[in-house]
Amino acid sequence: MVTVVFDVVLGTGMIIAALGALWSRELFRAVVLFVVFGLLVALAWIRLQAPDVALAEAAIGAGLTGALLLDAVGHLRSARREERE
Amino acid sequence: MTRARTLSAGLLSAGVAVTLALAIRDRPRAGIDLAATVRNAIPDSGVEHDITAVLLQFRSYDTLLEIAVLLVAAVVALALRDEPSSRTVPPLETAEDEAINTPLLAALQRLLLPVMLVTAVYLLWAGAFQPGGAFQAGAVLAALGVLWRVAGSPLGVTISAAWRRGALVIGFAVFLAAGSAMLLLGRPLLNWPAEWAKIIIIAIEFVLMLSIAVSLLGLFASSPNAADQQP
Repeated sequence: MVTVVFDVVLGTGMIIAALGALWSRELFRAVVLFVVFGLLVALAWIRLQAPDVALAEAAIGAGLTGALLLDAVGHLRSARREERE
Repeated sequence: MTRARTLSAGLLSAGVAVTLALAIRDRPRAGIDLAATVRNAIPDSGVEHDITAVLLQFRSYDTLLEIAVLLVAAVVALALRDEPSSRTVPPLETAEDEAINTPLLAALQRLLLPVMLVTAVYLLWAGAFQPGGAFQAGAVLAALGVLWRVAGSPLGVTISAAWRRGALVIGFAVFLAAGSAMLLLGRPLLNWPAEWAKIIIIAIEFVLMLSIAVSLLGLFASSPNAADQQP
């Protein structure tokens, strides 16, 4: 019973994080939600008894991709700042 | 126009979702029980964890090709950079003006770097008997590299371009060399002798970890930086 509730919360959380990442107007918030989404997906992989995939998802999907996207947001911001000047 | 498009996209998505749900509900039984086959063959593999056994023993040819694809991707990403001088594996340390100099980041880096290094090596070692392995360890190592690049070199350590290039290639090269060496010993390609299997697998995973880390870091670092964009 508890696991079912956990799974439902996890699934709903994933959908909410995904929608938030897609629809967020602010890029920074979208990236943070994307990282949250990645970590929730890693949890889902653990629930599906695939800890190897969960490790890879957390390290690559959430960690490295998040860093890459944050870097891109930073570049976009500095480019915009230069445009305004 | 946009509303019609949203509506049709929504209908299409709903249709796919329903079809998927139906397909999952009455999916056919698998013809062979792969999990049981792997479990029975684990004693011959040299490692105790099933995923590692599949990746580096039973289906090592697939992993070899995967590493080749990753290597090609990293090389192409590096070759596409604007500056000809920067078309190599990027250095770990950033230029002085690009590094973010805050005490907080420096302190965080000092705390995290040793932990990440130990975690990466542990993940690699743990791959032999529990979840873990070269890809996960390589990703952690690449994250370490990202932190290193963002905050500047902590110990003033620099790694020369030749070493960086070597680290990019070493995984694929050692994997291929070890696999081909089996042909010289009269065994099939990539077929490790049982008594040496564990050592060979751990050694290959170690160099794979280095190459995966450098490839991922190369992809991260080859984003055009602000200096490149100036006319």
